[in-house]
Amino acid sequence: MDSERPLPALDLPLVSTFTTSDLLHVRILRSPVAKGRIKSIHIPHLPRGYRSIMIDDIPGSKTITVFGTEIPVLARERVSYRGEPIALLAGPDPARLQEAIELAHISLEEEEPDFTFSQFNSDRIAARCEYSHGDVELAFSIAQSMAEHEYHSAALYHAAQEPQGAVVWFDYDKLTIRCASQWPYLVRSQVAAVLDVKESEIVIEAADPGNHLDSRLWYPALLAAQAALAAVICGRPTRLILDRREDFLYTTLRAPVFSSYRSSCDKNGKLNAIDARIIINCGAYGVLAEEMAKRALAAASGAYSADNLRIQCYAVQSNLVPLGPFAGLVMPQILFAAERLIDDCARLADIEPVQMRRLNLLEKAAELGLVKRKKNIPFDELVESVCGISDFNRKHASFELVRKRHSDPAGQPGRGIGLAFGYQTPGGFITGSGTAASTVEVELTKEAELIIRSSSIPGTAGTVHIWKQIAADIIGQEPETIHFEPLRTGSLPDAGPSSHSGTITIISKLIEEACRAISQRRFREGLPIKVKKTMRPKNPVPGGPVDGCAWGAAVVELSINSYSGEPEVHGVWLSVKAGRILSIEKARNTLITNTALALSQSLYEHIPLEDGQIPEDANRCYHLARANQIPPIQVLLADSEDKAAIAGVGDLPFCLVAPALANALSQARDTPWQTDFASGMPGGGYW
Amino acid sequence: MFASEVASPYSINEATAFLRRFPQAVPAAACTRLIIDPAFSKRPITILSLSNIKELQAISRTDRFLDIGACVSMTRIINLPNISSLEPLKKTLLTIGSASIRNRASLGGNICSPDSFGSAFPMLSCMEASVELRSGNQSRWLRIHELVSEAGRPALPKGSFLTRLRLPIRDWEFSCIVRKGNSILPGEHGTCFAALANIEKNAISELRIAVAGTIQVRSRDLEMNLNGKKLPLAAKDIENSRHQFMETAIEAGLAPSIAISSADTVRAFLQNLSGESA
Amino acid sequence: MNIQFILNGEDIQIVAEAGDRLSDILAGRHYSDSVHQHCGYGVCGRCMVLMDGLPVNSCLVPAYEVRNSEVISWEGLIQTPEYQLIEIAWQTHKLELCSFCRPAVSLLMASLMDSSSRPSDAAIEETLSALNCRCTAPERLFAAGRTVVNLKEGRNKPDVR
Repeated sequence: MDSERPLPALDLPLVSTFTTSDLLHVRILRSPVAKGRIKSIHIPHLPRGYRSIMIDDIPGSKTITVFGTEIPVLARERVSYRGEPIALLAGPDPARLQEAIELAHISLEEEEPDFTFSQFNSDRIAARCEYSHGDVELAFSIAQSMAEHEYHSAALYHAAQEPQGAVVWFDYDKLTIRCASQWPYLVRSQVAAVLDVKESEIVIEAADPGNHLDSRLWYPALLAAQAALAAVICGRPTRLILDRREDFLYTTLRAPVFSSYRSSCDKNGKLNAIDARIIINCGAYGVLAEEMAKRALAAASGAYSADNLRIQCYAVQSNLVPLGPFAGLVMPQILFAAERLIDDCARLADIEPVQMRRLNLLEKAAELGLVKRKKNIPFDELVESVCGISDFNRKHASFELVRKRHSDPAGQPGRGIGLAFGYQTPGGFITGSGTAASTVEVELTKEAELIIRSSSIPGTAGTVHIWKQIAADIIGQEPETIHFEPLRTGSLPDAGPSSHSGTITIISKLIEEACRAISQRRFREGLPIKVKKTMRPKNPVPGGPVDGCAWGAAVVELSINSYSGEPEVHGVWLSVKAGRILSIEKARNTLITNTALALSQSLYEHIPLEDGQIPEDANRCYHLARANQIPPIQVLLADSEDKAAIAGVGDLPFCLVAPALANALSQARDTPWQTDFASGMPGGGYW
Repeated sequence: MFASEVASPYSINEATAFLRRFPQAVPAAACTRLIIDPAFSKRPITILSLSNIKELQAISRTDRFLDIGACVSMTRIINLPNISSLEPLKKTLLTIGSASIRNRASLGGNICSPDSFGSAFPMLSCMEASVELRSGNQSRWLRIHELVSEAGRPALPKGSFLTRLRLPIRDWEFSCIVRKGNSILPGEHGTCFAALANIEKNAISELRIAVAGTIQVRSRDLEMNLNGKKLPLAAKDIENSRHQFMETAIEAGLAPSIAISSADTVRAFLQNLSGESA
Repeated sequence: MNIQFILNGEDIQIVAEAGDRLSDILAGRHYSDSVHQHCGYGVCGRCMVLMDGLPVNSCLVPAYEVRNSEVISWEGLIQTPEYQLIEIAWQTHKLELCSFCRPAVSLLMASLMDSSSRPSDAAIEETLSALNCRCTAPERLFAAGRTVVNLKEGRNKPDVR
């Protein structure tokens, strides 16, 4: 599939560069408190040409509905998180709007907010699921020892290149909205509902989302609805773009997860019981709570199993911003805990980490009730290759010797090397309610040009290149004769939500099938030939290590800087097996790029909490790694399997790097490292 | 930044004359820090821009000193060739911002941060730099630690501006610079730790340690105690030094967590000195 | 205040508040679509321009400092022959840059070509790290930077490390 052709540019417009005459800016008046009842709202007198918009000005639905959850477009009586939109102000001068926002006064009856989630009342549970086999309590009662472990995954900011926003303008009888959404049809349906107009009257023009890490899954629908509301009420084009601070504080963040485990294993290291309790902080409204809980349930023991297993998962609401979608949708947080657990158990049993994993690996044809596998997990292949290139076994044994010799290891920072093994589930990630099927239409025109129609948002120019190449190979035409119809709703079929990494698996398959169908009909029927292919989400075990997953193993080696006490990563090694690989070059680049991002998240990106809340200036302390802070990254890709399914690989680094780093840190510090970020010490303010 | 008025003089005399007339004016070089300081986003300020004054862009060297104009960019200092005594400062400057920020940000601006110490301050304090201040028709040289108030806070004399920085030309065998905390701006949530040392005849001949964020801490007692000590230092001496630095830092008003982590760095630095000498 | 400067070879005269940022002027008044005002702290680097030949974060440049200076944005850079070398380096290393990072990376690479002496590998990496690029592998970015420097020096062999 690889060719030497230069890569095409991802030719999507940007939101921020849009301009037109008569453009009105829109600013959001936000709740100053995290929980309370609104008593009154006082907005200062606005000059001519300016307008305030409250909930009663909304002609249609007062909420948007995303994945079955209703979220207010503007708060009416209650506020559920600090920064929740209460009113919109529109006008020509953004500085005057800002002044008006600062002079506005919202009188609220403040209530005690709920930020913590390790303890919660039942009325805060947005979703809950559990699974068990065997008898965990009995197993613990007869076990020689039982260990307890706790792991924390923090919230993360997506740091996409452009802050979120939307611009709206009138195009004859249509209202056109440009926004960087992963699911343009969701934006269209929600805007239509809010404005109480037909969906066909709204056109969504997709903008470049940058490297969004799934932060654009549903939030753009809220901003687009607000901007469209202002445009319709004022009768002018509008622009609502958040500044970086607002984007940081008030849009979605990664959901923090608290995992507590009890485990016991026999003297050989075989786990005989695992009891897991996983709590996901969904923030306000609990968007995707059920999906996240189900995924957590299926992934709670990672690639391993025990004779006696009990897993309880809770997705809990809190008075923080809506938390959730982020690369891998909760899988990295869950696999972090699972991989830390297996490493901690290995340490307690004094068994090599590779051996511990091998011993407890989910077997072929194992039926966990959650997951039925027909194929073997490629553990030996991947772990042996990654251990080989990183010299893991020798280094680990040597660092262990040093660790065990130290009388006071905390005072003698050392070196560590950590392993992690995990997977990325195939396909898109949304299996819950409100999810559309993915459809792609391909047409071979009379001029023998191939036009692909899909509302899927390609992650990069390379993805477009791959799709063109797939079509070119099947149809037997040059990629230059293959075109994608501009990404606008209306003319394109709904491809469903595009995920950070999963899109490539679904859309590639649909393009492939459609092109094959055209190829078969090409010389039997006259042109044009149109073929439409649709796929409905059918993964019965979201998040489970089912057949068709992409598997990976990672090793991270680090030392502790004696001056700063911070870890310094010396190298990262990844070994990946991902079924059929469409472009080795592209897969490798994706893996290295995302490994760099995952390292940045683990080493530098940390959102501190003040009294349970994100401080107002938190964005000033949110460090992102610079390119020259990234250590060497080596990736081994197992051979592509021609007949296998296409599996995405982009989320794998997010699932593997943090646990491998934490495992290395645990060895270097001779103390179990419980969080998936390395800045700050365990015992500090957890999410 | 809400700059109600800007004066951009071409000579030091013009600048001092302006400052006499408008003593509330804020002297600024490239303004890379002022422009993001929330304190200046609402309140109107008068800016005295020094970036057009050629004398403030000059670098000169004598046998004993290196003089750096207040508006010399950090990148120019980093690119200065073959001055080994400048290495600790270069290492410090490389921890500040990015290459494109350092292309404009000046060392003078870093020293004159109004509410908290810039990242270069503790290293300059260890190097015992001097600064030339101008006010009215007068110029005077101050040691850099004279820009620190008794409470350990920044204390740039009002009505004056920094014109030159003088660094003693002196080589250091051991240097250490550590930025702590995650803040983009030092002072708000972070600090900068600096240490320099020389060894002669297997004993510490000179040791300087400073940490600065919203306040600066330099324990001269500790430095005096350790100067002349034979290497390797006894574990007890190292622990005592760590403890002494921590107590000094907490007494000076440094947050306990930062004081402890700085004291740990003192211990690591002394351990490394001992290890290297062995 | 009245501010005169040269943007991409053209004389520009504008009226701006002294404390306005150069990025506000370039992006807000649509002089340049490649300047993005994203972080406002000089952290992301997506507002990069060349000012008097040096890459700077335009969000940290007050309007009064722009007076009489020469500013080059990506729109100006792509008109120059140097840009073709930059594109060759990208293609050599299959650099996949998004619309947000492409302009800043181009300008940083152009500044490497303008260096009076050959920049060291460390200097290349330091310069290119001024952009917080989240769309490509750092090693490829650096390799492309080294290639740009080689191409400028007339060494046609791209660096394929």
